Amino acid sequence: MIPSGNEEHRLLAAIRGGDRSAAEELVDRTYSSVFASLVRLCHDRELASDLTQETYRKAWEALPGFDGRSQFFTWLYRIAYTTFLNHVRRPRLMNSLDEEDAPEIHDGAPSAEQVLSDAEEGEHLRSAVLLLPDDLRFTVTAHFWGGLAVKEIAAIEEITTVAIRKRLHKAFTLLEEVLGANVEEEER
Amino acid sequence: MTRNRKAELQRKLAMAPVAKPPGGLADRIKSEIPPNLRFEPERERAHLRQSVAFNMRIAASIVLLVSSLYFALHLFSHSDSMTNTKPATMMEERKATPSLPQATVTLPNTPPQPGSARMQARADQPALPDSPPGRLSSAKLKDVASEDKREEAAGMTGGAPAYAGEVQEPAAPKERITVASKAMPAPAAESGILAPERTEQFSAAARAAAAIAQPPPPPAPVLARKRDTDAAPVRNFDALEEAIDRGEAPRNVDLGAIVRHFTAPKNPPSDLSVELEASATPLDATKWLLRVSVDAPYSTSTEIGLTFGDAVAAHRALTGAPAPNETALYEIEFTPNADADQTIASVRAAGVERVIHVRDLHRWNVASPRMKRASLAAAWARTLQSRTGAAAVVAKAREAHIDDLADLAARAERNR
Repeated sequence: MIPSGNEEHRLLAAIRGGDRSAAEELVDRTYSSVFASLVRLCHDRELASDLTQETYRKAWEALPGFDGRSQFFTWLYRIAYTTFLNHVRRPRLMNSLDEEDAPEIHDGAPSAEQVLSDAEEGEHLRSAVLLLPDDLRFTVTAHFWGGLAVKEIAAIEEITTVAIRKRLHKAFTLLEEVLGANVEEEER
Repeated sequence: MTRNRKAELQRKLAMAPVAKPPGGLADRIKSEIPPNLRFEPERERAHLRQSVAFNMRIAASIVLLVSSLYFALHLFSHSDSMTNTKPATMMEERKATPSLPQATVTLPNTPPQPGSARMQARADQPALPDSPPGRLSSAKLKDVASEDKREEAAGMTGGAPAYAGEVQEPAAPKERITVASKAMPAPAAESGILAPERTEQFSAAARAAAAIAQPPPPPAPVLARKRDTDAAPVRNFDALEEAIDRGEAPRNVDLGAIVRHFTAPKNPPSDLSVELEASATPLDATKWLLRVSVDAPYSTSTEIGLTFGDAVAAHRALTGAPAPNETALYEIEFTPNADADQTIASVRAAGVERVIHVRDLHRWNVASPRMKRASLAAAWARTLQSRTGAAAVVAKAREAHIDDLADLAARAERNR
């Protein structure tokens, strides 16, 4: 469970004081959400595990620079998202997102395909989200897949909540265009 | 996009399953927690200082590099402009281009038809010979020439150009010019080799004039030059005056602006008037200037048509083209054997036409005050541009009682 504001301050103060157990507690409270967000982004549990580890590695290095303007998890999500982007931008993995034989999620939980009335549409939706421009993609994934509030995204992006809502609106319009085009292609 | 479709998209995005992390992931993450998590402000500050110092060094290097490059470019461009300085006169220009094929020089054997217009001499055309007209056939001119010859200690004989004798500048009263000349073969006269054959004792002014006629001395090294204001061209007379008052020695001056200032009429004319005048230059009696002054009582865009006559072999504009309320100066050279009745130039402006003939030529010291002012202003501007001494200009201006020009030129000379 993501720590609340006061708890977060206490844990961070303890970590800065050299308390290792506080760092472990912070990991326990946040790693599931980070992992889930990365799975939604990359649709690959193994890759999401590796990226989660890398996210925390970077977080420990950058922790002295964390200024507390946003919540710790928001900051952590930004690191995770950047880590994911860096990963997919590597040439050898550039096409992995569009591969039809991408590994399935086997965690026993209901998959996106099972939840959505049309499994194929769910995959199209994920692909369409990943095709969005960077600022829109981050906003959509952080809000819907990372579970961040609009206010938190606005804080980490250093813009207003109105601008975030505009981004979301624009993203929906683009998603609708992309998904509509896909449907037309399938009908042909 | 409909509200329903948007809601459906939001639902689908939010309904994506929440994956549970694999077992052992938390342990792996915890195992990578660094042993020393303690936040040490001093260490961070030191790290930051190092980064800042490094960045500052890089920034300083870039600034230094750019400055050096700019300075070097400035020096190069400056030295280029020094080497490309225009010669002061057409004669010097010709001397500076000796490699032009002499065989291509074509002189008119017969004078062109009276009144025919000549195109302005182009820079890419072959140089004309330095020789002045061999003689002027007008009886009046001959008389004047004889009179002048008598004034000289040694008279000029047949090979010397008659017109030169006519306009030879009398020396200062205390130092009489003595010219010893002997008959010259025609080819030598035509090729302009007059100097070795003549022994002249110049007055101080004449010596200075001769010095100005020479090519300007090589410029001093750029770094050694003080109060150098070449970089900023002085296009207006007030700015020039202010620069001189500041103790500067402007070089990049606008000759036209200086001439305009010193030739402006004291009172505006009642009607459009056109003046055409030709005389010897103030510092070299063997060179000729044509002045075209157009004065109007109002601002007008009247077109001024200037046509050079058949007596002129070449001309070079020293200022801009003739225009209302402007004075234009041209350095002119005559065709060999130019006749006194031949036309030097004609000007037409708003129904007014003026024509000047060879017989209207006169010496500088009998020129009109405006001609004196114009020619001296041009000569002074030349000394500024070529960084040669202006003592002769100052002396001439004093002689002609043009004290404003003399004072300013003297002040500029002190700044040099």
